[in-house]
Amino acid sequence: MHLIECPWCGPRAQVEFTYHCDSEGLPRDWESEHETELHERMLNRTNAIGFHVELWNHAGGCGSWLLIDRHNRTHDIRSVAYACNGRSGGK
Amino acid sequence: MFSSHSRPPRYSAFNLLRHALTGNRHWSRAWRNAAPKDGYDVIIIGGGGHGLATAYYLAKLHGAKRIAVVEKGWIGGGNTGRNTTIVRSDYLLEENSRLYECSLQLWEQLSDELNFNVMFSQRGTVLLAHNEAQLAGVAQLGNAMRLRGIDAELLSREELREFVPVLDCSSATRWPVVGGLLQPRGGTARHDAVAWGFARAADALGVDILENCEVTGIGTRAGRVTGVQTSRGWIGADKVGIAVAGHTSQVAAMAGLRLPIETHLLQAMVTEPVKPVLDTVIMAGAYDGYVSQTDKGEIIMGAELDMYPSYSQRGNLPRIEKIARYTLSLFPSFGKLRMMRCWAGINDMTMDGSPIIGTTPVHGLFVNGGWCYGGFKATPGSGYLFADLLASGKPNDILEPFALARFDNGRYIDEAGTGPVPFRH
Repeated sequence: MHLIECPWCGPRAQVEFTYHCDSEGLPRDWESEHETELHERMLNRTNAIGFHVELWNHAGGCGSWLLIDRHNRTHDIRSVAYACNGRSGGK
Repeated sequence: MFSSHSRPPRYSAFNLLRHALTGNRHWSRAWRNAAPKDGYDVIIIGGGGHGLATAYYLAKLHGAKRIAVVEKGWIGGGNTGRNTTIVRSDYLLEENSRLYECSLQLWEQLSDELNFNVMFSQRGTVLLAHNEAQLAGVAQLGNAMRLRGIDAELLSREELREFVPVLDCSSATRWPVVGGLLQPRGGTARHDAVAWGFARAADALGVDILENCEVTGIGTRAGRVTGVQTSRGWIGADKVGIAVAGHTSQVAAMAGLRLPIETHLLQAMVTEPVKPVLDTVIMAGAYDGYVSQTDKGEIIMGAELDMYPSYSQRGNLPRIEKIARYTLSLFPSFGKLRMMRCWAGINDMTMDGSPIIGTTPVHGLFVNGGWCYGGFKATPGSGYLFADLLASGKPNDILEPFALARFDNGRYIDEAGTGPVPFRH
């Protein structure tokens, strides 16, 4: 269980958030992505013990899509940021 | 006795009586405290049920002589002792059906096979349906099972009421029960006994069980495995099998492999023990939960994953509260029980929800992992089949579909039909 510091709403209980995927699974560039890269990021994972940047959604709150840098054994959170590039405020 | 140590005696009523007369002071160790040798023919990484079963069947059926099981902790201290002990083979997809039915048939003789009472109790497993669509779903599942010769019985609400009197079958509950699918041969087993039984039987066949021996590296030369580096030194081997629930990605990464696995937590909990009240296993389709009563009398329950990756093995109160609340909607009378313990197991979830058993790009290195939350019921079958793979180097008919290569050629075994989202399976 985590206390997550949403940049819009402030600290909220983890039950308000839904985990989506590891940032390894996100496309770097939709336009030029090759089939083998798509296959690799969709299916394979490093799955290492340590900090991972993950895509979460504050579904039970402001609805923001967030990148959370979280440790998968200690559950420490280093940073929470909006997933949308270049946006510092708003949703 | 010509060996350097005395083999454990056969467990029997006669021996039980004999030792009772001497105050049970002279029982020998169930397995030796072996020291690592320089090299083995086969090393199995992971001393859980699957690894020990693999070693046992390798020694017994394939005549392998020099086998070691390498365990970082102690026998029975990992996921083997953390599951909810349910055994069944009610799968829709033929690949899964064959795998788990092979295992269930081995369960049925396991206590005799190992000369160790694993307390396998075929009390039946019931999959509840909560609406007409789910009822059609479980009926389809039952038909698929029966066509393959596996036992399944569709139960109406009235039949369920009689079969499980403690279940609330009224229509006024949160999850009204409209029927269910019973697999009479399903049930539960004592999970620690499974690990101990396999360890003792494998040891009696000469397998070295190396506890407190953590693998820190896998040696390879020219694409071929050469052995493992451990906390107790280098151990050479021509063949290495990985059977580590919860850390498959870490161990495989030592050989440079990246697997389609994400690791998640699954919560389980028990109440205080009470007199027998529930003599079957109930699985609720409404929330993917399961409830049964242990031989000690505790009500044991669990449900879906925590839904985010974790290796923490910690409790998660919102999930525990949800499982308890859902269980009470089916069994209101359990509301008077006090919760005694809760814990979490770490589950290697694959991208299609089915295990990965097969060869790897490294010659001589084999993987058996990604059992999601279905590993316990597969213990004897997994060991039996993985031993066959290690001995022959080639997967047999049952194992062939579970190869790692299925993710490259798109032949997923996706029982839940949810796509490559590991925590939705």
